[in-house]
Amino acid sequence: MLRSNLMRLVACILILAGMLPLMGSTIIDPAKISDSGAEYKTGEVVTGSFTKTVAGGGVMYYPKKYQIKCETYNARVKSISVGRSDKLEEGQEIGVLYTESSRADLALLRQRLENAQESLEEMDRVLDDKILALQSSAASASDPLDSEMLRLRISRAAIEYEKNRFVLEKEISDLKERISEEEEKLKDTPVYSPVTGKIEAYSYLNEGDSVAYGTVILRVYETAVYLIRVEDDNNRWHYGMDVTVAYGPRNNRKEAAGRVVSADNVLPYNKKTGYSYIALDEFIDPEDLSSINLSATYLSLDNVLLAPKKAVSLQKGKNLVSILEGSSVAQRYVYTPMYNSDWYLVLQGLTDGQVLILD
Amino acid sequence: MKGKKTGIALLAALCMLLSACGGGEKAPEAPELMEPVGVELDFALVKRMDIESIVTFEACVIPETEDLYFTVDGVIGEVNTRLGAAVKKGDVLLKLDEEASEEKLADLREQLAYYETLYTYENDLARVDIDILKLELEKAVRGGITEADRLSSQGNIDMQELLLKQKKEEQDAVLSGIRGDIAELEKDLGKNVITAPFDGTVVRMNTLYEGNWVGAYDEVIRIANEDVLMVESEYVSPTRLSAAPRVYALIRGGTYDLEPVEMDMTEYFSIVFAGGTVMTDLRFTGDTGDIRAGDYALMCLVTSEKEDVLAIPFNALYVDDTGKYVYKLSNGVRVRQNVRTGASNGLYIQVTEGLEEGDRVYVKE
Repeated sequence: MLRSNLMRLVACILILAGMLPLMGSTIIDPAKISDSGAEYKTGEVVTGSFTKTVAGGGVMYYPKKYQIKCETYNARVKSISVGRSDKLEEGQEIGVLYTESSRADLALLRQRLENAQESLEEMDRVLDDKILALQSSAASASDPLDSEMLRLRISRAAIEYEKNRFVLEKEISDLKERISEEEEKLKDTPVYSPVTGKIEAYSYLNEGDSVAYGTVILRVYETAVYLIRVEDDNNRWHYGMDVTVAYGPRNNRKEAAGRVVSADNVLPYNKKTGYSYIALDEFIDPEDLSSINLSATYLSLDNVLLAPKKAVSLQKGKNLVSILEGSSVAQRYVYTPMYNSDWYLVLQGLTDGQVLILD
Repeated sequence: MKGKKTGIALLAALCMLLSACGGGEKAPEAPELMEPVGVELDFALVKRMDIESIVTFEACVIPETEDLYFTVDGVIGEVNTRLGAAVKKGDVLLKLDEEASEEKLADLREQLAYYETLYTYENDLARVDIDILKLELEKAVRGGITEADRLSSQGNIDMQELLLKQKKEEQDAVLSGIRGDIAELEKDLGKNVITAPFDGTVVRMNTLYEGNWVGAYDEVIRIANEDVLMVESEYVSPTRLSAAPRVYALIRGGTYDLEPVEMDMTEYFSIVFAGGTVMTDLRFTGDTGDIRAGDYALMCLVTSEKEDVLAIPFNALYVDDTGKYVYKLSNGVRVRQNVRTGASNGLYIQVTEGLEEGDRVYVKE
């Protein structure tokens, strides 16, 4: 057994000894060693545009709203001819109100007017008689003092007459005005839509219901004027930004241009809403604006230095690049405040045309 | 077992044979190795340059904005604008309901005219009554009356004169009060309108309905003026801003110098206490060219700048317990060289002592 193992060992040594000359002559072939340096993947520092985009879903927003209020006292509903979420045309009758006005009050006012007019006529007659009597006495007076006294009394009667007539005429005028107002109240009051739009809020009212003065009967928004609203929690949709609006059914998507006309970045802190509003450059029928998607370039810097994203690595909290210059590689720190999917924006440390080794 | 031994012996013999064949040639020498790739050392030139430290902040170009309000309380009468609307300078945007005020004014004017006429009649009557009394006294005196009666009648006349005078004073007070009310209303009527102070866009508007009450000085509308642009950036403390040698922004393809707008500290604290995010506003110091509201701005704060100083790459510098040093290339070999340094922007560092322009220093990998 021992002898058998010894023979195996001797055989192996002999085999290895026999292969040695072969190894020395064929494994390293000097002709196959390249003298052209390492084959790096490289990219170039370029001057170009650095952009970032933002996207989101949009919803319709109607900024022109109207409130239809009850503007008469003691009103009741005679009829209501619209329902919740109905579309309305400008001038369309929404309903009719009537006023519970007292006919007794009106009758009393009319009687007072009649009395006042009668008093005026009577006053004219009495005054005429009084002045005539005084003038008669004055004509027969021989004493200059008596004559002067009568002249004064006639003058006084005339002034008093003018005064009373003036007061009574004012009373008659006021009564006529009040009667006119009361008569107006007794008429039905139709309520019309001030605009072509849609009902946003609706007070449920039935025939005969009383409606207090100032009660909001309907709230309507104008459909012809709209904005597109987008949520802006990250403060990316800035005022003034151009926006592309995609809309319509999946098999027939269309695009329109718009601009942000209101955004939190131009509002004071306590008035921020979390939304931005976009106005379209051209009017599109709001019925067509379904499934709205918005996109915009919120960051765009032109003529800036850009380094390929794969060329920049982080070392000790700073960005580092490997610059290939001929056959040498120089590692340098660079100041790159931001990046997008392809590039780092370079502010310091590189120049246009430098070749960088990509990671 | 015997067959196995024979196999091993044959294999060994074959190897010996192969070995013998190779042994006839001269054994090749080891190939000469080239310089290892990538080990060419990085030596940077010590040169003069400007060292500028920059901190950047995200910012945006915004328009100047102004809040508009009524200076009197009232009820909304007309709403002539909406959120997002473009407005022209002088456009009437909102109007308080003047119907009630105008009605009241008309009533007061009517009241004034009524009392003026009524008082004229009353005073004329009183004057005639006094004249009659005087005439009666004259007649009585001529007819012969006692001195006591004469004095009594004269006293009555004097009293009527006094009463007339007092009545006129009271009438003047009433008329003056009405005139005051008219003047007050007329004064307020001029304040019942909000007009656009410039061409712009309505960027905020309260939900306003005709007939709703609105208080004086309630900020109901905010308008943006795109003719006056500013930059709003992430917050930078005023101290830091004022200490910066230069503040500028990269916008579109240009560089624009900026200066801070003084912060309203009341607003600052109200935002801070409410847990909000404070922003910093800056104005342009020069022409704004073709930039417009909504453009992105990268606000650059130059925290320090050194012009034309001797500098080396930051990663060429070594530090140990004895101080700072570099490896300077001297006669083809790296030699340790102690240095003193100055300003740095994290990329390059100023060398104030130990190196000269044109020296080469080793940059570690």
